[in-house]
Amino acid sequence: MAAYCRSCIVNMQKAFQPVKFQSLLLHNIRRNFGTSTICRGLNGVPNKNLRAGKQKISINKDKPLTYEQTQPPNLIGVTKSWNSWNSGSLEGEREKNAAQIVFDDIFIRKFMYGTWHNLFASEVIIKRQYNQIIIAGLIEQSNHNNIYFLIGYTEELLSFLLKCPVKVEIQTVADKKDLIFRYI
Amino acid sequence: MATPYRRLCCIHRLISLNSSCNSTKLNAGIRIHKCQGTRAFSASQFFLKKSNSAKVTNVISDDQRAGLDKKLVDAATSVASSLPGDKKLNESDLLQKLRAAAKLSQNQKSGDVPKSKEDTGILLKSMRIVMSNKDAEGNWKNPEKVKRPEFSNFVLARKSSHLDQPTRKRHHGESNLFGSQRLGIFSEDFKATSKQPDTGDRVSVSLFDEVEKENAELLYNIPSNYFEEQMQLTKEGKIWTFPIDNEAGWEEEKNVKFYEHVFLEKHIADFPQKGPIRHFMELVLVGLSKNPYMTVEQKKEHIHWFRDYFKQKQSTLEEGMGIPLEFKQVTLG
Amino acid sequence: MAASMSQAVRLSCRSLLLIRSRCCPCSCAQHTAVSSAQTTGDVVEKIEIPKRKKRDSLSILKALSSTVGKDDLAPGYMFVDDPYLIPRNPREQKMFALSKSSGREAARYMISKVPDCFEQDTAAPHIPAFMPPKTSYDHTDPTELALIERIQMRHVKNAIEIYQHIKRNGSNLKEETMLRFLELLCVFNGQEPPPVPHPETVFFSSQEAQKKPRFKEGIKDASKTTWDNQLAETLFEELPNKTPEAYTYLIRGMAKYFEADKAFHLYSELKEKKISVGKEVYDTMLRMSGKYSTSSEECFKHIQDLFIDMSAAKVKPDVLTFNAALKSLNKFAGFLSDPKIRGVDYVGRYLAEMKFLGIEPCLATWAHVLFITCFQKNSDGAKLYEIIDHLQGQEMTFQDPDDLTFFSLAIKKVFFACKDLEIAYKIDELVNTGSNKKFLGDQNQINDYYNYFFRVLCMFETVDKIMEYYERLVPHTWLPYRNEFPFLLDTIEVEKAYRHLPRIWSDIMVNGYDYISLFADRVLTMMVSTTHPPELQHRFAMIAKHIMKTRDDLIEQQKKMSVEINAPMMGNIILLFLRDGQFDEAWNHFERYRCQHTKFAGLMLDDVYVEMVDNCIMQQDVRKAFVCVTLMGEMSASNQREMVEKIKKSFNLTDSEREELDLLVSS
Repeated sequence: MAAYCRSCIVNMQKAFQPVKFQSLLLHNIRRNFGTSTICRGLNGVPNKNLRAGKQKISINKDKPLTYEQTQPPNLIGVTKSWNSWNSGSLEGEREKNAAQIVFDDIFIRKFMYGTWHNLFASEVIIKRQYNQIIIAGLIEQSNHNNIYFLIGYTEELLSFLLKCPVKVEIQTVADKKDLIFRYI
Repeated sequence: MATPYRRLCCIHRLISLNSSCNSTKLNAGIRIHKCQGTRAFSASQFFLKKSNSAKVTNVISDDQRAGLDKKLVDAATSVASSLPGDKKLNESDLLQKLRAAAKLSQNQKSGDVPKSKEDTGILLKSMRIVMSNKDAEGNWKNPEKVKRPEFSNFVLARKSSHLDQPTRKRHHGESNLFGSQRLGIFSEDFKATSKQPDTGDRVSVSLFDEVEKENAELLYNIPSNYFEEQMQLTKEGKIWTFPIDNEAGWEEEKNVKFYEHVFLEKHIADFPQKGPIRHFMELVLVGLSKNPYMTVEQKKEHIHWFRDYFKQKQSTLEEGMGIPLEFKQVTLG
Repeated sequence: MAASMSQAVRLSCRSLLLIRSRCCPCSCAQHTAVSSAQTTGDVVEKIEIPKRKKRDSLSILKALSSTVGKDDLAPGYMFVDDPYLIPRNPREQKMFALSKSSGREAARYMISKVPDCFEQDTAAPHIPAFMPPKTSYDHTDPTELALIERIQMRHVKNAIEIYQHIKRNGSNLKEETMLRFLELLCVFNGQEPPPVPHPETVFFSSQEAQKKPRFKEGIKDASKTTWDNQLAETLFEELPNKTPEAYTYLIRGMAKYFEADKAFHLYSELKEKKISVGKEVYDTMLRMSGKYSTSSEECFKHIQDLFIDMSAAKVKPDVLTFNAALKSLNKFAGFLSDPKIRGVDYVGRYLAEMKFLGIEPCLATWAHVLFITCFQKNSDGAKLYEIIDHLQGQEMTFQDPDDLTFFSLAIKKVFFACKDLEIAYKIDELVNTGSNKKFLGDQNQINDYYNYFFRVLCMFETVDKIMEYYERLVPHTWLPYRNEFPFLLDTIEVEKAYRHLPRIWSDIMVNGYDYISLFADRVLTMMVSTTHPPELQHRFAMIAKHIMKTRDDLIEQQKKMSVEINAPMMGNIILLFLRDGQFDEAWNHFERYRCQHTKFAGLMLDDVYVEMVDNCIMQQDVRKAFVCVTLMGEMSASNQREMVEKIKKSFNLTDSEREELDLLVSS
């Protein structure tokens, strides 16, 4: 019993090592924890049934994934970055605005996917700097005039809706297939 | 087989050669041009070809030939004979022009300011024969041979002559710009006091000026870099001003003192001094004085609402409480 | 103890001083001299505390933006910095910028359709710019407040309605309100104010921005450009007290909408009644004096009278006043530059007056001066030199809308009159000083300026220098137009700088099919004129191929525009392929010509046949050589005999073949 506790403690100590060094090993450690459900992973989540954000493998291995989709959520901040950048997690901001920010982000994403008809090749990235919102992403190449029209329209309409200046910064990609990282 | 076009080439060549005899720099230009080996039509070739067939008529006076190179004169005569029309007339015309050109170059060598392009244009215009892409027979001319050799000469000559052009006699400095006599209408009193145009006199800006200003500013509203864009947005009020002022947008509130927020007793001066209503209103005041989110106006409005409410319900309240309600007539200062 | 200590200290200090004074008498003396002076107060050092700089919210941004230079190879800031989305020529620039602004317009339309969805106010501090436009009025009854509200919102038609209501009711209005209403009517000619165009529209297509809105059938033309404002005039008559402001509004309104007679009439009325008005009236009248004068003398007289009136009324003139006077003289520039009239002297007198009064002339002044003094095409433009010398190194401020005409006018004068490269460089230097670039105006004026600047450059500069400017300007600032390319091509031809041809051809191509058909012939001829290094030769072959392809595509798509290729051009194309070593391509085209030579106007050059035969010999292809020589005979090319001899020498021919050749030559 004592030995068991000791081993748990040791494992937990291992688990609470700084993220940068252990992050790659953490994945392996988790595997070893497979049987011991009491020991928790870094975030305090039971590690056995983690299925969020992980793509299901297809039979023919023909399901395309972008780089972002291949990284599971535990690698956010490691090899995967956030799609929403704001200061909503600071003290003071958290109570007042964090929920509103999340709500606005959902709205913006819905708006972008709807207005830019099937053009977005990557996720919509939303950055907030003081007063303004910057919406970034990769889009597929389409008629030039259309793209500029959509930029002007989006900027103006979202500014009026969200009551802050909105800038759209996009880059184009010839084909969505260029962004495929792996087939799974 | 000298087509009209080729004749023209020849004539232009003669003029440039003539002037080049007097000006060494022009010569150099043409020499460079020759060395680069274009298939330009050269006068010497022409002489060789034509000397066999041309008949020289000695009708032109010696004056006209004076001062000109013998080769030129011979060439002129042979050209004149192949041109349509009166040969003697042609020849005299040609020689006249050549003499004029020689004189011009002589003058310019001695330091005259060259005249504008128009004059030389007139010189050439008078001798122009209609050029076309087609032969006299109606066949297409070979484009290679329809090249414009005289143009190359002309351009190079112009470029090199630009280098040794005598400096323009210019009026220097401001003395000539502002040096004229004054109108004499405005006296000393009207002198402008400051550099900027006088806008301080008018208190309000006229609608005319506003509209004009708006229209003029439109052209400059396109930002050329990120900072200008931020400037534009700041002017329009869309972006926060830096350094961040936490009290931005509270301009009216800055004029309101704290005691107007906190000490609100004077607003309930006309309520009855004792009793449950007074008690109630005092509690309301305590709450309002601790409220940082309402403006003074809103607080006053709040109290007025209660006043109206109680006045309306006066009869029912008097019945219920058994005490008469008296609202004093107090003018709030 | 302490006292004695301090006393000792004091004594020791004094003794130190004494020692010092004994040791270094001079310095001590100086020291004492200064100290005595300080006590007397003669030599007093004044410490000047510098004034605190007022920094507003924009100063740091301004300072930062002044550090940012212009990258010539980058598109404008308004375009997305993505290779696919960068505009490649001015036409694309215009299209993209206008699509962006039409997107904004569409958004505004949506907002005005459903303003309720945009009413929430989550911004702290409140931002009025992001609130939807107000749809309803606060005051709907025909009261004075309602009228004021509509005047403030510049809703002219509704204001007129309310005013008429009020009049019908018989109630009186305050004088101030009536004046403001009069002002509104005069500014907008009694109609709705024109919609404010977007900055991009103004920059890229200013002519379209000023166009009248298209009217639908059945509806009268909505916007009037001439004065048609009965209501304003009646209102003016009804004013109980005709204040100077009222006169000002009416005169300015009439001037804006080109009603010279009535304005003049009003002005004379003003003078009779000896009402003193502000500077604006005089400016307006000066500007109008050109319109109702028929000769330059009359115009001068008007201007003189107005100046005298101004000085009598003690109104200070400023730069706009003199600009107005000079602008009205522009109409008579032709007469004024006549040496008999010596109109230019008058211009000089105005300038001298300005100098006396301490008024610094702005760019608009110089533009008008230039227009008048250098009107004739063969004037020597001496004034231009003086003006540029005067303006050297100055950064200008915007004072008059006519400032924008200066630079294009100046460079045009250089091209037509001065023909001097130095002054062109000086003007360009002035343009690049500080933020003077904004004075180039909108896109049309920028094109104008660079067109003429480039022409002057091509006239006098070497190819390398020209191409330096070319690299800098093209394509983001300016692209040469059809009149400028010949200048450039001439220079290249003369200096044999064929290495620049691919770049120039790509810019020609980008302009469209009509440009291709204009310049294909010339460019092909130039490419063929000499041999080039292999890489360049290869690119020329590619260009030739592209020209052919464009022509075929256009014919296939049955488009109206076409690229005409005649026989000499065909010959040039074949030559280019041969010189690049692409024999098969050359042969294909040759065959094509052979079969369809009626479709190609003119004749191929002899050199084509010669080179073709040479290449056939190199390729050891006898039949092709024969075909060549046969065609030579058909086209009556001059070198047929020689070519036949060559073929006979190079190949081992059978007797029948020799006979064939002889037959060809003999016929």
